[in-house]
Amino acid sequence: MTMTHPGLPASWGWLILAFMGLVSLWGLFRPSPATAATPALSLPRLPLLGRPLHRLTTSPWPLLTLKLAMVLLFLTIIAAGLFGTPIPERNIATVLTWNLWWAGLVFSVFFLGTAWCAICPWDTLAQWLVRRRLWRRAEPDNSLNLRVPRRLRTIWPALLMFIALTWLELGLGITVSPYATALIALLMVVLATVSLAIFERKAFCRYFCPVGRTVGCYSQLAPVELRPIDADVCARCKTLDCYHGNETVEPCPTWLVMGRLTQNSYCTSCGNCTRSCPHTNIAWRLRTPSEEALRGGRPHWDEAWFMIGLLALTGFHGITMMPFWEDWMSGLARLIGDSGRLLASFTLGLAACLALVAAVYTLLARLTHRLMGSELPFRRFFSAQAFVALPLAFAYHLAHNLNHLVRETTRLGDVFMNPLGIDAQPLSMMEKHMRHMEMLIPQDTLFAIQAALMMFGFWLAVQITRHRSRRLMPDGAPVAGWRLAPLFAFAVLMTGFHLWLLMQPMVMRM
Amino acid sequence: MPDSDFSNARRAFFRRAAHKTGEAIVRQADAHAAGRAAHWIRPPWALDELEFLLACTRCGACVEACPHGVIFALPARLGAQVAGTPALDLLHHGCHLCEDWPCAESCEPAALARPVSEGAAPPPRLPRLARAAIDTTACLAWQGPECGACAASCPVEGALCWDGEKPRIDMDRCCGCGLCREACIVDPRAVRVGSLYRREAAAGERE
Repeated sequence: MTMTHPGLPASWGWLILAFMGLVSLWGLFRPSPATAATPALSLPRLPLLGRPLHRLTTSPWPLLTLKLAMVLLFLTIIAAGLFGTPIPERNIATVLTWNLWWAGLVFSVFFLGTAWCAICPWDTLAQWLVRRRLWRRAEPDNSLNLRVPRRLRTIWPALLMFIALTWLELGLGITVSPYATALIALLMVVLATVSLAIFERKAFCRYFCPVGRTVGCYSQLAPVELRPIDADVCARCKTLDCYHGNETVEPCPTWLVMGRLTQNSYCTSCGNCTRSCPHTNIAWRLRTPSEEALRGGRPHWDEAWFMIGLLALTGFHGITMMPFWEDWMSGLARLIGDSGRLLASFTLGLAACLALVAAVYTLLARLTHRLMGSELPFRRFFSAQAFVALPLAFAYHLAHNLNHLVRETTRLGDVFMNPLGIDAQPLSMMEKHMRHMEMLIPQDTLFAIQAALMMFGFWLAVQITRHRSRRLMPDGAPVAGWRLAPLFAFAVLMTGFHLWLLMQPMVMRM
Repeated sequence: MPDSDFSNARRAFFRRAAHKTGEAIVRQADAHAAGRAAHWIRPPWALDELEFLLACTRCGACVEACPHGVIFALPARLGAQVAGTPALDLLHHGCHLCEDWPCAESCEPAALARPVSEGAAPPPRLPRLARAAIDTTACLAWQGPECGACAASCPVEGALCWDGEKPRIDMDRCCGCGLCREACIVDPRAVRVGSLYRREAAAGERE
């Protein structure tokens, strides 16, 4: 028997719809505004707590401790997956990977940006295997240090890997197989290690990793960033230790120069720059989350497609967890004569979802391009405005995963008692009902947070369209609101679709 | 017609002919030398290419004198005329424009010679070495999102200026030392450094 979680009540739905209507109307009648920089607060300048916290980020040991803990947990997961019980809800591999990590990852971005990348066990293991140093720079570094071929220096590989991961997760259903989960985890370590042994720096993190690029993309909406404390110090710096590293500290793994950094996407929070800077001029900063989306970010063609892909895939995740998804799939399978695990039908559904979102965005962006009378080549317009997809994807991703987290991690402690699930039985009907009733926070609070997230995403999408359109005009002239109507419509359509998904009951993941 | 007049006219004719031929040969040699010189960049304060080739003794003193290892001797495969003459390796290094110009100081035949002040006009403070330009299709700051690796590399005030996030080279101030190219982190580098003798150079900037 499948059990479902109740969806967002209709009253919340109406409220969000009304909010969307009001914001859209307001946007239509207001010219696009000019964007000013918002202040940011460097950690060392924070009173009282600032200095000690900053010291923690400049010492290698706290981070190393966290990495060690993560690697231990990761190895436990692999061991449990390979040798433990095949019952997914009793095996630590599936429970920790899918119920906690995969669902919670996006929340770490909401609060801490790309912090996950700093403690990622895939990269840590690769680093230890290839460099054979705990954290110090290795000389020689045991890598062939080949340049990444020019054609591969994009995030298309990461987008393809992310689509493949979605296919494995939802199509092949590796979320209910501890063994497959462990194999995928091992595969990622192998990929990271091979890439580190062949290519310069951390090409895997920058170009290939689906998780890293997703986290990086979303982190453009994070409230924290690693930046210079004093920009003038960097302007006078000739040694660029952040980029080249020094004798003990590795260089920036993703080829960043800190001095003029404006975009979080490729920063992996590794903190090498905080340690290598001879002027100790790099620190964590608190900022307005929308700063980068409205001002700093300049997505390229590949990054723009990644954002669109992210939007399509988060929506697709949602659809597959609807009770009617099974009926759709079997209907499609009958139509094309698919049988067995209906992989062909699933693949078709995935492709259709990706193509549909991309087509709708392209069409509406084209219309806006016309209405604005922009002289910019459409390709550049497409890339610059694709940012509108990011808050929409992020907000729904958070709202959807919050449902999982709040409802499906209540008995997380159980798997730690018996990680391999030795002699464990599948959940009995009573246990299922018990778990179904238990929640981390009251249901009404959950609904309120979900609604707030949807409104936040929509508001940000509208603001991004308004601010970015003005910067796309040749002389920075204001753009009349109604000329942006197609892109507002895109935000309304996507948020509406996400809202509808949230209001449906969702199949429970055990 | 008196005999002396005739001989005077003949003498003048031959003199003029020799003069014209000589002039043409020198111009030809100059153009030839300049044309070939587009392939390398001479050290600071080098004379014009033909004069430089005549003055330089291929002693290698400037190669030794350069504290940053930027000067190298041209290889023999480039021909007997230029083999062993010094050039700057600006593709890989930048000339640090040392304050005391050890390369020019070490040059005994004065093929590298700092100009002395003539009358009221002070001598130029910096030599023109090469022409540098930013390849905006490769430059990270131009292509986005940002970079700034070259920001502090320029020793000449105002030669490397910034339009917001994007760097620009002011051709009137830039002396072509190539330090910004050395700092550039893009591969291949986004700062192009070329000889002042390049054809496009001849049209515009060379006096």
